[in-house]
Amino acid sequence: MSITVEHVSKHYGPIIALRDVGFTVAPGEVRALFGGNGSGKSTLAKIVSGAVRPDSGRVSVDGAPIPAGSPRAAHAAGITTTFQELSLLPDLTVAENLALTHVPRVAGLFRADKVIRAEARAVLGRLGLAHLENLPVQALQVGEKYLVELAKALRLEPRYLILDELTSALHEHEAQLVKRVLAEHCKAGGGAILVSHRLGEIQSLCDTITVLRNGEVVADTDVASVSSDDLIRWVGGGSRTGDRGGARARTTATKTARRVELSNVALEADAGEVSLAVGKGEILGLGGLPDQGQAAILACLFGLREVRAPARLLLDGAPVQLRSPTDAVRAGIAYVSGDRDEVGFAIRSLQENMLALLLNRRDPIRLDEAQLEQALSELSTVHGGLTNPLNSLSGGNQQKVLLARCFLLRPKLLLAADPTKGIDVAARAEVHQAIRRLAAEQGTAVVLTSSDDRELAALCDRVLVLEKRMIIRELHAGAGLDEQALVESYLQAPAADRHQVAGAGSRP
Amino acid sequence: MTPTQQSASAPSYWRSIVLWPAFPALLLFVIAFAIDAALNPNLLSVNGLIGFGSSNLPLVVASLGQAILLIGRTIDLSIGATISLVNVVAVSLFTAGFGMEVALPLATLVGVAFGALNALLVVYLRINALLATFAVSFVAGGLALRVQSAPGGSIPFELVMWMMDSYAGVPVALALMLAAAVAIVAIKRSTFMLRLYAVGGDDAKAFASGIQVTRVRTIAYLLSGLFTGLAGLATTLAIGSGDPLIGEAYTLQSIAAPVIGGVAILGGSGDPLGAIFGALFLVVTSELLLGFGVSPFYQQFIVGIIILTGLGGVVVLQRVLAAWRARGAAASRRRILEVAP
Repeated sequence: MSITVEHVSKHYGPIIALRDVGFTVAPGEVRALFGGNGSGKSTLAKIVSGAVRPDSGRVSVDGAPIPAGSPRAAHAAGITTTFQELSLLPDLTVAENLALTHVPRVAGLFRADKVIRAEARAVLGRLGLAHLENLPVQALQVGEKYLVELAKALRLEPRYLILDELTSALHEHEAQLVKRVLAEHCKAGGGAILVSHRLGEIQSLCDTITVLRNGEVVADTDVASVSSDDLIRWVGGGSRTGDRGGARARTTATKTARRVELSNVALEADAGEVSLAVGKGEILGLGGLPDQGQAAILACLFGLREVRAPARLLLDGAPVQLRSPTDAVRAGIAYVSGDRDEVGFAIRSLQENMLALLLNRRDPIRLDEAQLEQALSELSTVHGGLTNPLNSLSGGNQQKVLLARCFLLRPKLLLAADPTKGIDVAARAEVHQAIRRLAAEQGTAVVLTSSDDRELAALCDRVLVLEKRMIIRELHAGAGLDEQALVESYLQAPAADRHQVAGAGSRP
Repeated sequence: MTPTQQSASAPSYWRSIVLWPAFPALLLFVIAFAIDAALNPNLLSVNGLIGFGSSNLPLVVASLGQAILLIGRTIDLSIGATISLVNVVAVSLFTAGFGMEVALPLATLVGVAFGALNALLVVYLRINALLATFAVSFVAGGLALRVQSAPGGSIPFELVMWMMDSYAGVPVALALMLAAAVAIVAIKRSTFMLRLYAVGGDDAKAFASGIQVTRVRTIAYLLSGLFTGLAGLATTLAIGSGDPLIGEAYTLQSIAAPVIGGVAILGGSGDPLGAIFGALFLVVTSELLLGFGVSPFYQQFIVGIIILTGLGGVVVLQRVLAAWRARGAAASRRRILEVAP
């Protein structure tokens, strides 16, 4: 009666996501899969749940291997997963959503609404949510959606539950509910795997912990026997690598000229305001756990999200109003993304891709082929000619083409969303080199997000750590910015709203 | 507690009607029908209703089939041509001497067979639904012309008479329309339909919920094929003869009708019953215009304007209602939370 994961490896293109990892979960055990951004913990959970097929290794339940890459097979073996991206359909009611996995029927064909509702009430009751039964999912609050996702898994009475980042959106009282339900589940002989990057919830919910770093298991132990400091050291690698120390002598220069200033912007309806400024030639990183508001900041800076008073955006000291990416490009803002399909035209030629950014400018820039060639060779791009399609190149070289076109635009501001996603180490270093040169030679301000803390530590002059749409910390190169510090800042982030809830409850 | 609950439930009853996705189309249809009946009192006589029912039954039935596909976020552009094919197959079976117990089911099966063909192309071979069913429309249309190259032929007289008949003042055609509505209500109550809403809403999430997406869409095409076959029969009984081009106009009208009726063209929401009101609104308004003496040469033009007006009106109404609905959801949320312990 246990899950055994043995020798699992997985790579995506040149990137190794998991290297020979394994763990077990016994009945009554809650195991945490713990690690920093990009450590492979979510991939590992997806392999166990059947959503992702590993390159090698196997998952077995009670000694019987489960066919890889099949959610249905995992499900038949008693493993049910709650998905971080939620499997709920907004137009259907809560009860209907719960029933979807196995619709109770009458007369063979028709839905048994009474049974559907009774079952929904029963399982929602365990979470204290029976009153939500008939609401459409779109009327729920975020935390409630996550709990309904949990209810959907519980309804199937699985022996093993996989909770993928379930608790990160929950308030304290909701997290307590999850804790109680997990305890009941374990008492009944079930087991669970909790994917998490939050120390607090691991210490309160889990019995055992597998710590991952760069796709490898660095620790496998009892939660009770480890301290928070141990965990942070394991996740951060215990090294102070990445900080280039005083290598950046020009930090003084960056403070003199402010290139971009975004002030008093609320990244979410009820969230507080954030402000940030980027100097000329400065590389600013946005760190923290995924989806804490990094994308929203980029959206504000690229005209995808309205910056409305009292919030404002200044470019070289002058206020600008960006209504669309067209406005942004005209204002001298370039955007490059690691999702190359988002910014590149895969089947069009290199030269078309390179010129695409320049088409909307009011003052045309005239370029000949030699200049395009030169821009590519400056980034040591390996290519077979300007007329070849973009997708004939490797991922790393595609990324260099898309950066080279930003050089041609001579942007005031470069927005880079996870720019080295899925490319190999050598190409990654060259892309970093290119971004640094752009900042140094053209005075471009760079705002960068990354799924890899090491990249932020290696590339940025300064990193703002975000948590729940707020900036919670600022780290400077040469003054403590390294991978370890980044990991520490988000793992130990104060959960602001939890205190609020506790405070509100204690008042008479 | 009791009085508050009652005062809360009375407006919420009306609210649930007004917020019904098919409501705008129902309203449009009732208004258009009332104007039509006022100008042409004969419409409300038994004979008027017989004519109204029998000439509009085919579009109503075809629109229901299309509505099922749209809810599952797919489409069929071959419905019109398949209706023509069903029509000429039925007539040639009668001409060849088969009785109605053979001819009618066989002709209906032609519709189901084309539903199966569409499912094969769209669901299993994953060809874009617009392209695949557009191509299939030429296959069905070509076959119809091969079966019967020009209008003609006839069906047993008693069948035509039955369609023109009425029992206790209820025209058979209207009763059949009601039967189609009952059938669609039954389908709505099926487990299949819940899965179809899920698949049309987001097939990745549906898949993650363990729903067999391909199977659900295949059933949708087969059901839609059945409705197309029945629409072909309704056409045959209404005109009493064969015409290889009779169904042409139905394809686009069968799409416009459910969309006017509040079915999301991108799938996952709406009530298929709305397709009935959408279809009837379309036909009543074009009849109205003919009644005003608009030249038939302008008819296509006018019908196009009507479809645009209907769609535009529904889009505007839907936006207004969506805002309402959002407020309603928040309100019902509050109400529920107040009642909850």
